[in-house]
Amino acid sequence: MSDLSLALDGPPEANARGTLGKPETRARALVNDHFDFVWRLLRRLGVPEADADDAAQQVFIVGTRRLADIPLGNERTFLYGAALRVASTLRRNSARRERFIRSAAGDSEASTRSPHDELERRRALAFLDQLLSSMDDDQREIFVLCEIEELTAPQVAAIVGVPVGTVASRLRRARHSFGAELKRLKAQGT
Amino acid sequence: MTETPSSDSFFDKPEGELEAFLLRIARADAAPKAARERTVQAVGSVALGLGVLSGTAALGSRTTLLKGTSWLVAKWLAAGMGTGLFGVAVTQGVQQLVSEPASSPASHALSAPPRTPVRPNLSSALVAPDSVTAVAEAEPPAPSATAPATPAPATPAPATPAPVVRAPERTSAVAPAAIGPGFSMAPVTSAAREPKGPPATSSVAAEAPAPANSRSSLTRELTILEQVHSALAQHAPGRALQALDDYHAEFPRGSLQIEAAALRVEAVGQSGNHALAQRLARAFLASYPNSPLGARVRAFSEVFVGDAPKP
Repeated sequence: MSDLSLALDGPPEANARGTLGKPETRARALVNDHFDFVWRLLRRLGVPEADADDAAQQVFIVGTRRLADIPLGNERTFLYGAALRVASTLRRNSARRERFIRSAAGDSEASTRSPHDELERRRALAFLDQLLSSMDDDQREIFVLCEIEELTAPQVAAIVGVPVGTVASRLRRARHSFGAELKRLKAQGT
Repeated sequence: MTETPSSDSFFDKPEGELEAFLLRIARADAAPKAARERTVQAVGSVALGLGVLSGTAALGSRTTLLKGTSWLVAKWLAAGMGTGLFGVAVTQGVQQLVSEPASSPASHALSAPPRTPVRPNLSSALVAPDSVTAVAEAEPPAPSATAPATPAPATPAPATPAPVVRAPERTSAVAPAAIGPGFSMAPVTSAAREPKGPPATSSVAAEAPAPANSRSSLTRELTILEQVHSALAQHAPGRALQALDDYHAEFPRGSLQIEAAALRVEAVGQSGNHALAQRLARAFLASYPNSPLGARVRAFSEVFVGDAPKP
C-alpha cells in the first residue's frame, strides 16, 4: 500500500498545507479534507451509524500515527485502505456479526419527527445498505469504491490490493448481484 | 431487517431509475459535523501524543491497525486537554514540581491545546482518575483513601470559571470511580455536578507541566494494556486477565482504569464466563454511560444475552 502513486487526492498543494509544519497541523488537514469520504465509505461497508464515529476516528488515528509514511498526495488512498481494514475487522468479528448487520440496517430508519425529505433519504440509504449487505464482502468493497466513490478500476485495485482484472470481475458480479437483489426486493414489496 | 419502504416513495421508481437514485443519495451522504470535530480533536491529541511520548515503547513506531490502547489514550488525552481537566489532573504533581522544575518536552507538547470543542462524554468518561480525585476531594463521599498525595494544592485549576463545552445534558450522571481488581465501580455522583472544565485555551492546562514520572507510568500502563490487547487478539483470555490483574495491582488508581474495565469485560467474555461478562458489561455501562467504549462493551453484553442462562 505504500507505493501507490495514483492521483487520488488531487493537486498536492491542496493537501500540502502544514505538511512541512507540525504533525498536528497536517493531521487536522487530513481530517478536514477526507472525513466525509472515510465516514461514508465505512457506512456503506456496513459499519452501523452508531459505530461509524469511532471507526472513522480509528482510521484517522492510524493515518496520523503514520503520517510520515504517507506520501504527499496519497492521503486518500491510504485512508481508504485503512477504512477498508477497519470495516473488515468489524465485520469479521463473527460474535458481533449478527448485531452488526441488524443495527446497520436498522439504525438508518428515520424517526417520525424527521421531515419528509430526510425520511426519504434515510429510508433510501437503509434500503441501499440492505442491498449491499446481500453481497460478498469482496464485491461490496469494490462496488462501493467504484459506484459510490466513483474511483477508477486502477485506483480501486491499488486500494484493495488486487489486480485490475479482479476489480473488473468483482465489479461485474457485484453489479449483477445488486440488480438482482433490487429486483427481488422490489417484486417482494409490491 | 429493514422494513419495506412505503408505497408513495422512491421505491415506486423504475428499477434503473431507483438504482441511480440510491447511488446518488449515497454519494451525497455526509458525516455528521460533530463526528468530524471529535476526530479532529482525537488526531490533534495523537499528533501531540507522539510528541509527548515519542521514544517510549508504547507510542513509538509500532503501528498496527486497531491498536486499541494507543487509540484509547489518544481519546483520553483529547478529553483531558480539551476540557482543561488535564490541568486539574496534574495539580497533584504541581507541588512536587515546585521543588523539581522539570522542563520536559511534554510541557511543550501540552501547551497547545486543541481548539475544537470536546465531546462531552469523552470528558466525563475518560477523565483521568487523578482529576476525578482532585474534584472529589471537595466532596467527602469520594473514595480517595488510596490517594498518595491527597492535599490538593490551591491552584487556579479547580477554581477557574468553567463553561460547559458542549451540551450539558450529554454529560455523565456518574463519574468514574476507582475500579479495583474486583471491578467495583461505585459511582461518584458529586463529580457530575462539577463544571466540566475550563475552555481548551485555559492557561491552567497550558501552563501546568506534566510530572515526568506520570509520563513513564502512563507508558507502563499502556504497555500492560497492550499486552491485554494482544492476548485478546490471540484468544488467550487467561493471559489477558492475568495482565489485567497485574495492571490493577500495579496501578490501583491508574489513568486507564476505564479502558482496563472495558478490556476486562472482553476478556471475561472470551474466557467463556458469559454471565459474568454480562454483569460486568452492565456495571460498566451504568458507571460510564457516556464512555466511547460503551458501544464496544454493549456489543459484548448484547452478544451474551442469548448465552446468559447457560452455565
